Amino acid sequence: MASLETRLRDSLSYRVLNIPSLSSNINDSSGKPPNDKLAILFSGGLDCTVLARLAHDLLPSEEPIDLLNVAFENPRLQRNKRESTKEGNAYELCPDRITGRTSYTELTRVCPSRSWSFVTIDIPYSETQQHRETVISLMHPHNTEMDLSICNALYFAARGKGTIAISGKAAPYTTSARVLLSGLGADELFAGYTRHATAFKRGGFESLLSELELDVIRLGKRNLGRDDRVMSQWAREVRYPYLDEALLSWALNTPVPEKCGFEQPGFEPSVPGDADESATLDPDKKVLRCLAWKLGMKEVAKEKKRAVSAEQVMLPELQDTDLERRYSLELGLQRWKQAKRKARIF
Amino acid sequence: MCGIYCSLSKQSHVPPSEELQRRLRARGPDSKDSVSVTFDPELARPSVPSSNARDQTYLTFYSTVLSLRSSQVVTQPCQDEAGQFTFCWNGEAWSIDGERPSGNDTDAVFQLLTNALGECRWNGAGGTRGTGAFVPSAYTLASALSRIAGPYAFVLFDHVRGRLYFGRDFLGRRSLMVQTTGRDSLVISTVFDGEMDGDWAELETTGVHCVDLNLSGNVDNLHGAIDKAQLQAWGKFQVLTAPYPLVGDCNAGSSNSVGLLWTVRERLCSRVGRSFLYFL
Repeated sequence: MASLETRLRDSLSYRVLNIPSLSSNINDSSGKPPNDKLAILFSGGLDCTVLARLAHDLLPSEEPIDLLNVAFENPRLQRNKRESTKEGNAYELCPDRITGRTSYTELTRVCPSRSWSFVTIDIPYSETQQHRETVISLMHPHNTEMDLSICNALYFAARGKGTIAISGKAAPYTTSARVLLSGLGADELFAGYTRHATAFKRGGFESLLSELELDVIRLGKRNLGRDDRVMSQWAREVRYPYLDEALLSWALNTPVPEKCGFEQPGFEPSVPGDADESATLDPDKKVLRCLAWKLGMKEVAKEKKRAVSAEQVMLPELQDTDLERRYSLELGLQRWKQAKRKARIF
Repeated sequence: MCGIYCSLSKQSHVPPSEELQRRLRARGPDSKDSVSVTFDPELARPSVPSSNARDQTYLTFYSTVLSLRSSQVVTQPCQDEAGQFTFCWNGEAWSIDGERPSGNDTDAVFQLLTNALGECRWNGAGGTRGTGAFVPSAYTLASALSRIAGPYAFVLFDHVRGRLYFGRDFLGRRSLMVQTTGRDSLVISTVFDGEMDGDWAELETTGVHCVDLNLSGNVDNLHGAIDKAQLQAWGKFQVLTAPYPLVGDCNAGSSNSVGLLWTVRERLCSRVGRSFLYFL
């Protein structure tokens, strides 16, 4: 775990230090000094929260960091939930919002000297529709509903227009940070996907290792170009600390038991102090959980892996057969639904 | 984030459309510029017997910049003082050979690549301007790029030798797309222009793609200098892809893409056999 921490700090130091500031120090409408340096795509999950925690250690304490958390209006689902929980604001029911707030609270407690801004980006259905053609055009030639769903989340997160709380009141706020950090890559490195656990159950570490290595190779053939087009159009640059070459090389060379914690007695990465409780951390991405624990972020270290429900960010119109007809689906309809359930957002 | 546009055509210059310019400027609001070049193989190599038709290629480069490494904006496309190279770079070279570049990384990478091409030796017919030097120059550039750690997409044109090189980093972190149209033109761009029927594809990330403008349309005149099987036809242009090296003078785990790819290759080979390499 010490090696992971060192390499992740190195990776972050390239990506968060010395970002030039272009502001003239005029406060924006919310009364806060503008942050034109760093924002983090923040679902509140383990990956991005560890990045936030480590970025805090690297940056001068007077520099603010924005945490961008997106939630979409999904009238069909949220109406049902609202009735059962009596929650007034539908967006607060989204799982990413709930995790986001929990992790934000922990960050402010563990790192009180930092000015964290938790930017809640709530997107009503009408606004999703308004930008639909733009997002489809940006992600081209990707053209499936799953692409659209993920790209919507990235597009509106990168736009960074939402609200922050000032003295308990919500104020409109748009981040002017030019650099965004994304936690993408941690799942590939540290066996975060459910299918990694399946591979392990099926064939032990050999099988798991093959899955992991294929994931790293496939990164080049996947979606980062699409994500670049969708997010950079807001004049921001996304950086992926987990996709640092040195960190990737180390991760591929590290024995899998040290990384994942999938049932190998005698391979527990050591954690100082309350070892009993840390031993109960979930096996997936164990080394990252141990790092979070060591850095004082115990709640996020214990967070259960959510079966990422596509309904969190997907749109009600996915039931619309007209759309299914309009957009070519590389997968057959059955496999498309299966892939939809496994869609990973951040 | 920056924006890159480069078009090659046998007919005339193909500038970016209004919509494409708007999208590129949205990505890179800090500066924009364009360069137009006409390459005539006969003028470049007067010793070569002239062909019947003038085989000129018209190149247009358009770049926008989002400046994030210093408060001073480096305008692109970059050109060297001698006017030999034009360079468009959308990327971050966090380190070159493990060392953080001093000064602006665009300049550092430009120097790295032009030096590598300058040092590329070819003792066959025609020297480094000869047809036979095309393939080694492409592999030399792929080697040079693999010394960089960081995301990128780039386009580099060698005016003197008439070669265009372009590509993305192995992990594909920056967008670069290509459009081949029936109108004798090839367009390389960070973003697409909105025409759904325009036959755009994302560029493969396996290596550096190269076009030798001396060759275009004259594949049959290669005289054995290049194995035709290495070339792919993209519209009217023959494209070679020089893969990023999987081995190099480095240790496993070193902080650049060569080290990473070496690690990946070695571990895969030990498990599934060398035939798996073709998957890459």
